[in-house]
Amino acid sequence: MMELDEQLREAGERWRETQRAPVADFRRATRRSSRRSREPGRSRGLLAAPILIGAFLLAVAVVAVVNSTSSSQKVTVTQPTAPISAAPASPSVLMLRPDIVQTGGLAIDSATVWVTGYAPDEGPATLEHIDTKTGQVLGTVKLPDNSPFQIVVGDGAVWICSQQNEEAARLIKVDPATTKVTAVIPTQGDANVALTPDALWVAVNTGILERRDPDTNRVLATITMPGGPYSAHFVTAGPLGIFLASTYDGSVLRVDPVANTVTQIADLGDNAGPLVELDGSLWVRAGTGVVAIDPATGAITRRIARDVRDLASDGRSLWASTNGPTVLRIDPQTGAVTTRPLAHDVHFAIALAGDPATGAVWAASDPSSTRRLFRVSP
Amino acid sequence: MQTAAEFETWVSPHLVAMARLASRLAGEADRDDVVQDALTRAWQKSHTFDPNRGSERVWLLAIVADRARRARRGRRESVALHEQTVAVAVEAGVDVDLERAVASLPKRMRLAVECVYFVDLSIRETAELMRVAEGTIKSTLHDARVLLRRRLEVSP
Repeated sequence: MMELDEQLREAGERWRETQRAPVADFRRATRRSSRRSREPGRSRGLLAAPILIGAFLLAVAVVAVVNSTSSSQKVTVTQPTAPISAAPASPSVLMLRPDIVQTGGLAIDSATVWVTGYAPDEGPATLEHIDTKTGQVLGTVKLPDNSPFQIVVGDGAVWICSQQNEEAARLIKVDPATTKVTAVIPTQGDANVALTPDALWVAVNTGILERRDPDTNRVLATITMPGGPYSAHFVTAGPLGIFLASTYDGSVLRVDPVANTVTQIADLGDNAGPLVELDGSLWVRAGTGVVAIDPATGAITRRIARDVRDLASDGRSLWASTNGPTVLRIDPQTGAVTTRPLAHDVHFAIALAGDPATGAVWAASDPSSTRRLFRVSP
Repeated sequence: MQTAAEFETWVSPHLVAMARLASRLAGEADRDDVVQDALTRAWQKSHTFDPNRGSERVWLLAIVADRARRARRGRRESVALHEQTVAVAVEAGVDVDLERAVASLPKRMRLAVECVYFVDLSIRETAELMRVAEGTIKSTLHDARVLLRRRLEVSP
């Protein structure tokens, strides 16, 4: 057998031979923002935002800034952009404040959104609670970590999955009434969470699923998932049950909350990602597109051959973000797909969140564009 | 370095290594975005570069590693990105079990393996990038190979 050192060197050589020539736009890199030495005290986001916002406003002929005399406790609210349908009474675009330079987590709670992400200069992240009807920031919370990546809201708490660089992974619990951090819970690795009325399900990327009491935060059960470090990582919970999906082997697992066990119900080949329950089916992003699964049998009942990133539901339709400046609306009954553009400067939606209770779906723009949230439904 | 042209001249010799590292850490699909993001960051921070503390190549690669980490987290799909790398590797005829095993290594071990074997950095450059002694990189690589061998033995 070939020595592993030699095997790795040969693997590296073969991989390098397949690499495309690098693509780099130096003019863009040096034009888009000034160097900090020239503008002391101003971050990249602060510098870039006015330019991009100006271009955006011009392009879509925008208009209204709600309460233009507002203090820093306001986000800018614009009129609907042409491509996005929106309820006339509510704004369809919310400009994020500069303390979020890249959206990491987004969740909808009634007529409000919770949003968080990376802060300028890798400082502690901020969680913001925004009224989507007025654009008013209802509260902000300074988080202990700098890399939050998921928000789940429910049962009187806001849960944030986060990391502090590579050093620590944690769950942060926030009281939505007081906007105070009430618990910081270390996890063994990156974790995604889902909430049921009596449990917080924590899928840790070391291959375990923790069942925690959402009131006391204590671990009630630890379930070892098949696959170890290749185990399922995405988790969702709803009326159909609790399900997980693995990006490694494409497996979809169902949790038995009575026995505290997991059972594989489907094999999607590879790259099974975010899951959403809608219209009696479990919808999963797979390597080949989006599939609908019968939650009882695991049988695939529909395939949508579109390359998507994230999924969300407004209770009637499935929504999917793509690798471009669009979101897709998918009719769960017919599989019909409608494409909705976001805005001209957006490269892709970096986060997508839906709330079947209110029918709301919001998408967050990528960090290279002006950072804002788009209402894509209703 | 005062001008954009000087910056381009300064960075260009290292673009290939930057792209390789971005591809390994963030996935092939996001490679160019990460490199572009790193260039912007490097331009903004270029006044902080101190040649007494290391080479410009390692300084640039450290920025790439940071931007790749952020891009990966932003997508909430870090595991899926390993699969992109695996898919590219399969196209290249690289052993898929080996790629999966590398992707499953603890983070610092994986970074060392990626830098030395795939990005083709020297032990010294990798040590500078990871801010440890060269001996630490050698022992990290040794530990990684032990772990890889064990995982490859048990893989079907």
